[in-house]
Amino acid sequence: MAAKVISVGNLQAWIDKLIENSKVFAPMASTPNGKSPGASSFAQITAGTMPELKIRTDIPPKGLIFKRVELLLTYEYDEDGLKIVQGCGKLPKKIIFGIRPCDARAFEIIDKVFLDPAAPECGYAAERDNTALIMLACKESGITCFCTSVGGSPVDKTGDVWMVDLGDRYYVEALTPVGEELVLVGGDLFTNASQEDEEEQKQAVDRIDSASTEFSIPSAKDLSSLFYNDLFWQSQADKCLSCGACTFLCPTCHCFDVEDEGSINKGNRYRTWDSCMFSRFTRAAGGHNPRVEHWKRLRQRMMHKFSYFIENSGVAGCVGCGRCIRSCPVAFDIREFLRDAVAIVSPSPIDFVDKLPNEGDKLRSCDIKPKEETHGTGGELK
Amino acid sequence: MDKLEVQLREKAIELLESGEADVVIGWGKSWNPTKATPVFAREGQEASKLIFSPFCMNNLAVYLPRLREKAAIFTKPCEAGSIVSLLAEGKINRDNLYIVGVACRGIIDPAKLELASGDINEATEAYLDGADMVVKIGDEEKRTAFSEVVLDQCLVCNYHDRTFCDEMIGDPVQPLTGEEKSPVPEDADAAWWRKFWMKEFERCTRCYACREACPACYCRDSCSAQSHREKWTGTKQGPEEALMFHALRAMHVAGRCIECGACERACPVEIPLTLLHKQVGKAVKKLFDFKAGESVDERPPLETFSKEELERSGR
Ligand code: SF4
Ligand code: SF4
Ligand code: SF4
Repeated sequence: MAAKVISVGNLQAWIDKLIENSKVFAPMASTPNGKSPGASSFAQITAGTMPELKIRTDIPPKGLIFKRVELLLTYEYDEDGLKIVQGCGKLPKKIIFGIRPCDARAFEIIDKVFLDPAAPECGYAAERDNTALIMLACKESGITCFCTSVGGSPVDKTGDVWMVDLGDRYYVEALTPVGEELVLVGGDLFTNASQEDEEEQKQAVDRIDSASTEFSIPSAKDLSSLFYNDLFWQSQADKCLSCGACTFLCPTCHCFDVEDEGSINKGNRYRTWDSCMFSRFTRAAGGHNPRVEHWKRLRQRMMHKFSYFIENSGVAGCVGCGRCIRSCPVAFDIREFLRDAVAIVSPSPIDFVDKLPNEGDKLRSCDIKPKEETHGTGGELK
Repeated sequence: MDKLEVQLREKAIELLESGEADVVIGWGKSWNPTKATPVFAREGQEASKLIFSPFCMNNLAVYLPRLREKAAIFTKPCEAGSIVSLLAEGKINRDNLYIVGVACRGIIDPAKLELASGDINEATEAYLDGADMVVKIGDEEKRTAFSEVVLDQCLVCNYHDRTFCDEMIGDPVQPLTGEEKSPVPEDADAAWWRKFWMKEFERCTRCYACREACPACYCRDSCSAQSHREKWTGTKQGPEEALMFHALRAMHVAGRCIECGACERACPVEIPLTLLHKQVGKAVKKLFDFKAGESVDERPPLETFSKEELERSGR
């Protein structure tokens, strides 16, 4: 499909048409409560509501696909035996409108874990399948943005539709068949991009591409050589409170816990968000905990993002959105950490960017079809 | 560098060199001009990072229960109050602690500053100019009266330059005057509060930053809110579960909470937790005639089950 443009005036009409068939989530400011400004997030919008596309949201859209709480299975034990029901049905269509490149890229990183062919998570796959991403390239980078240092870019094309703000109009390019459909829904609200539009789009992209800050980060291997440098980690973590603000507001953090709720006869198994910053995250049955100390937990978060994840999946577990920097109650700055680490080891040429999946080999569905199984002969539970 | 900062740094070096302290805890500059960051100085040269400004909003007393070294700490009246409360409960060892009080003129409420000046995360400059707070965001410079953007508690703080400490540095300061702004109506009843909190806690991420930033929440990793054994708060997420956690926390810090607001400032989604803790503080005052942070010799109420306390609370 040829690139299109849509005027700012027509944008609302397009959004309203999208809302007819899908739930649309878009950046919205918070409503102040009389004391604090609250937090901006991707909220579901209704027809006639213009999203606040200028906002880089405080809360990432992560939770719209990677749910805080995902039901994995239900179980029931009675005379007939143990019945386990797992899997999920079809979900209503969803669109995340105005998602920034870093946040969109974050889903591709989480995909590495939850769409791993060896053990895909059904609920995540279903959400991912049913959610289209309409991206908005960044017009300028924020003070805490460092996407370009971790292999991203403010003008990355990651989702289904890519939009560039040209002032009085948006340049719109469909990146996937799903994206094409979404543009088609808009019908004559769009016109084909002219030569002039193309020129302006290129200029806008060049401007922002060169405006963002960039610094070197340590290579995965070099960082792992720092693992046993206790003093380094201790001094990094002196002020760390070990709360979960950074992990819960990070669009790529995806550590989880699995919990059963119910009785021995009947209940649900959930996958919930967890944080490597919490002591209980690593406490084993019997009480042993390899990460009692705060600094070991901070080390885990940094090593996972910038060493293990790169080694396992070929990409850093960070998209440089800067939310952890903004949300940290003690102003821990992950960029400073990276710079301090580089000062000890050596900087890495960014060698992992190519390893994100290509459009063709994206795994977007799940092997676990809804199923029921029954085990055993049943009877009284002792 | 102002005089106070010179004094701070000299004091830190003196304490480290004399062996009075292995570590000096204070504040330093961060990536953002509107927030300071805790600094742990273990060598003389690290003392050069120390500052004091209205942006020193962390309550540093939070680090004391977990510290195993001989420490010196710079304190605002907030830290001092927390230290008194921790000492009253025997949670820290006075012998290992050297307390340097800093004359405090008032601390910025980031929520108020943001409402007054815009996204302070994007600020490039922020400073006090006479009685005004100046914040630069992009090309815009916003000027607001300091008394309009300080914490509510600073407007009623009686301890500006006499805190619980071994020594005090800084010139005496003029207490601020101004009006507290509260969204709570005079006649707020249980139903009003419930509605307010259910809306606010809708966005609680349960990151526990409020708890981890609070000096009174010394249970830390053993917090009953995360217990796997007794599920006080369920697996599902939502305002009810969050309310349960916050009610649990509010009750546990009742009689220990000095209303410093560190919890609220730590919250990444800006939930106005101080409103909850002030409310509980009022009840503690009324029922037990007790205010946290006033005396090291008086143990707080609700430490252990007591029939008398139960009767006083009208049960
Ligand atoms: S680690 Fe920080 S900067 Fe990186 S993606 Fe997560 S929140 Fe953003
Ligand atoms: S509960 Fe909040 S206001 Fe009270 S002492 Fe703790 S951090 Fe301060
Ligand atoms: S800091 Fe805020 S978001 Fe985190 S648990 Fe406390 S109230 Fe909830």
